[in-house]
Amino acid sequence: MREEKVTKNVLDWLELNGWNVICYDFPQSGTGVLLHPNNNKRTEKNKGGIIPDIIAVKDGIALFFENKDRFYQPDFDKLFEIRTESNYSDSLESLLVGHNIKSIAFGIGISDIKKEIEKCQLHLDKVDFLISTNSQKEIFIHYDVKGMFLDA
Amino acid sequence: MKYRIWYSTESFADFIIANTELRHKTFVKKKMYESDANNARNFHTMPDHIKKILYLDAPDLIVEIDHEPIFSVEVSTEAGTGHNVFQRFARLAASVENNVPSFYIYPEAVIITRQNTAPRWDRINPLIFKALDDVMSIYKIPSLFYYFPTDYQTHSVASTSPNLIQKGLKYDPNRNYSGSPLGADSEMTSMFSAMDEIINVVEKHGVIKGRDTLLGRRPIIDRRTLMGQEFINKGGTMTTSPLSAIERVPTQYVLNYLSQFENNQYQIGELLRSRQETVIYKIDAKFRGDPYPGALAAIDYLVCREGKSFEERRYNLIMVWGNLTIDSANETLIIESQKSTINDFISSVQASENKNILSKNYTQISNSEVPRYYMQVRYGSTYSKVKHIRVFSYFADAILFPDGSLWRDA
Repeated sequence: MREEKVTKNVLDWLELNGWNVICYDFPQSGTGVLLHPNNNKRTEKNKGGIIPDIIAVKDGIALFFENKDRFYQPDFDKLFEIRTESNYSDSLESLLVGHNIKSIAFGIGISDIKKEIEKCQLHLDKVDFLISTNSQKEIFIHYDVKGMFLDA
Repeated sequence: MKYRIWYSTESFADFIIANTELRHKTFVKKKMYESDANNARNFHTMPDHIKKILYLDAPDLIVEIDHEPIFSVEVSTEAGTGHNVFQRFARLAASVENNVPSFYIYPEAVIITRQNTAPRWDRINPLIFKALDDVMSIYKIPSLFYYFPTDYQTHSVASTSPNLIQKGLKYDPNRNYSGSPLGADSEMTSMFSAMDEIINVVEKHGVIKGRDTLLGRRPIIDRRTLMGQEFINKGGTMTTSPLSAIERVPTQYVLNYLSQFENNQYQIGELLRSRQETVIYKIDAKFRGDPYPGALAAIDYLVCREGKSFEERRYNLIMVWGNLTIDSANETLIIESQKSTINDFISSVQASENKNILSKNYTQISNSEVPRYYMQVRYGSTYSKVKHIRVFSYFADAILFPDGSLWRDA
């Protein structure tokens, strides 16, 4: 299943569960919002910018998704860096202004393929959640360290 | 009648299909591969008539009926200030040069947010309307402009735009059409009507005959009128970018400059000599592509062209890469630059040539490469050069650098 489908399935599921989608992006969608690194790390226009695949909010929590059709370690590494170094906090704060966000959770959406999920599970320490989806639009929560999806 | 819809982005194709008469037709959707330069594995599979459109640049969508293209669409979400609105102009040129009507969707203004300054609207350069009108006058086919929906008219203070994070742009909420403009907006419904008009006309009268009548159809006349009004209402002039970067000189000045390349055995040919004056597009920048290919095409239609072929020009159109001084005393040109050299052009061509497989032996060509090899046998490096080289060499009668020049003899 392509990344586009993963993202669309996750978007539908989030909205069904009361999350408010702030922005989303998938290859060629052209809808993404570029986040710039904080001022002290920014060298030139757009350099180091990232486009989250989904940002959604609910009850003071924001979700930051990177989605893929398969395991992709650089996404885990990227999220770990953003999570621990807060190097995009200014852009994120600006994007989420007015939503009264108390915490941001970073995680991965992926195609529901057993061997790919197994590879992902070796890197769970880098993210806050891992979910997968299949062509029937079913969603499977594999990891949710903050308990954000307990009512899903 | 069978329709084929060639797309770069499938969601945009779905958007156009769902909002026009195409949804009631028998159609297939096909992925468009833009050039041999950027997609060597697949470009040769494109039909020949589509390749011809793609030669200059690839529109976002081409709709064809029984293997005859009936219109193309180009959509942009960029800020259209200065040269930028013309960046995609070569894509429109690609369409109209093949007698295919074109639609251009572009925002009236886009919110730009820079560090430490309040967001503001960057407005479109209205010269685009004149350029498209000139295209219609030359080709006698529609080349229509529609605004990508934005909050610009309703929220003139950019920071109040409800779509601030989307730069003030209004996208269609249906995710199956991700990245497409808001379909319910009046600009888009007007565009769908014009597309339906084309579909109905070509179904009734055939593509060739029908196409010739399109400029006389009411929705298209009305749109053309509105485009003309927008040029005036937005303060359009014939001195704004990219026309602010041109000079018109007697062709003799150019011939005198090029005389350094003449000798007893070679004289500059008849093409340049056939026109008394020459329009020079001055670019004192590092040699590169965008936005210059589109701007060059626009200058051609705005100033030089009188007919459908580049041979039918009132003035020669040439590019100068460097700081240009017109030496009236000696009736020649002086070009200086630390930024660009003829070798920039030559190395781009050489890099493209490396993608060709014509020098291979038969035993080195895999079966799957054979059709590409055979295409290159027929067309040489036509489709394997990078876009800006293709567009520059198509539109410019000559390209002058401080340390070397290229020109056409005929």
